[in-house]
Amino acid sequence: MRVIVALTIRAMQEDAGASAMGYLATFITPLMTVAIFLVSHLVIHALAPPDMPPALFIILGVLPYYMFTGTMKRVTSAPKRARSILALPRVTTLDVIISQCLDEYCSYAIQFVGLATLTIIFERDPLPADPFGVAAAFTAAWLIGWGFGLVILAAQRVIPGADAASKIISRVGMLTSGLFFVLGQLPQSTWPYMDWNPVLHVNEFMRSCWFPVYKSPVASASFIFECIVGLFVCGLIFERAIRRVTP
Amino acid sequence: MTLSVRNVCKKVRSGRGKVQLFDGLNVEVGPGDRTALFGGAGAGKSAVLNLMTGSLEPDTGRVERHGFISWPLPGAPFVSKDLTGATNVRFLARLYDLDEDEYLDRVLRLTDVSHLLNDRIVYWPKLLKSEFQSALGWCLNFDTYLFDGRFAAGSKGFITSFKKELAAMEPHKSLFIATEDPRQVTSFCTQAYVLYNQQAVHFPVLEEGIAFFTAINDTKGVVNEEEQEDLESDDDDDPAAFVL
Repeated sequence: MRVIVALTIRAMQEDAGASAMGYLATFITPLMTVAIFLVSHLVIHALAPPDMPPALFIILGVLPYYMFTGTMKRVTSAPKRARSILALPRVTTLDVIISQCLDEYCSYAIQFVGLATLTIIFERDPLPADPFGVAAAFTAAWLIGWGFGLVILAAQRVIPGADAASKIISRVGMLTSGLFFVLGQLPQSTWPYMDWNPVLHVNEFMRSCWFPVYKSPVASASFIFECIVGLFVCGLIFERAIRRVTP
Repeated sequence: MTLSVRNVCKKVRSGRGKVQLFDGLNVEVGPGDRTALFGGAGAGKSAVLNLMTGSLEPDTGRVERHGFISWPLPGAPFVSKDLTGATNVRFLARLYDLDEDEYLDRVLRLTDVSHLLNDRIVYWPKLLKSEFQSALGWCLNFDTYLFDGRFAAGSKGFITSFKKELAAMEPHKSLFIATEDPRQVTSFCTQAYVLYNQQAVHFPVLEEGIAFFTAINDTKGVVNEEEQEDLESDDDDDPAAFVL
């Protein structure tokens, strides 16, 4: 635990230290991303359902998704990024992965709370109807990213270049994870082609928990839970099985 | 034993595909041992150290570790140049559950970098960076100290202090240095291993190990005078740097 705490604090300090603006950059970068999405969103005449405020709608879709892809990339690149720190006999690859993921979670949680608060204050957007549900969905996006990362990381040991999978997942996920829509806006015939995606379930679940007027037709907490457990079990078993394979 | 490498086999990737680096490697380090590991370039000296620290996994065989084991000193590749000296000290203190002030005091006693502590490492002079890295490891109070290539790097004054520290090392603590220059270790080591035919040959008497290493390596020989001068001028191209 002490190792993970030390590594997590160091990862946060390095994030801030590498940028001239320090911790401010952690907040400005997603703010700019959300602003870009928001402007595009307004330009294409608001895809958001009429009963959901556009800024909050975008934040609820974009931030969890970015955290999902960010966490996945942190896991797959952890051994490479932290090669120097693995020289310390106390530190294992798993410690580095956990600390990197915690760093990612803390950064995005602060951004999420900060941006949501801004929209609530300045746009008079509603407070979440079920804050625990929102927090659970947010955490689920992080865990799914972590799980996918573990599976890809293990695959990388036997298939060089397997990390390209994370790019494919990111691109496919961008279009199918409900960043710019809720499933209720799409024809029912398209749902079976979309509801395999656990991140879509997370976004649907999150918007259902925040806006009481929206009831997602597909969001399933049990499906999200099964995906997380499945990804973690597979990722950790694969990693254990092929640990000695020279990458 | 504080460190035990047993029957380790390891293949590594090279330009020619996978090559057998070790085939039945055995190395033992007990409490109080002062051991040198000799091997030519590419023989796998650093790989042995990495096996010992756990950053390299064996294909087969076992590595057992007891007590606090250092990383391969005097380098400290994990020292982040984007962070200040003080932050790096705090990180290690947190990691090894040490009192930050006490640890910092010990580091500063060995190398006086107090005026730079709150500056990011990237702005430090190379010489002081080397001294700081050497001191960070030495001051952590390990049971077994591993060294890769040399004991320390820094100014003449720092090397003198470091020599004294090495000479006064507590008798129950172990020292293990991997090097291709036997002259570096004669004052500090009592026994040797020589990497030969993908294995490590043990010599309970250091001089026998040196003789064997010199014999099998006579085309390259021990490091000649020219190479020694290169070593003393340090790889940081800092004319004031010395190595031990």
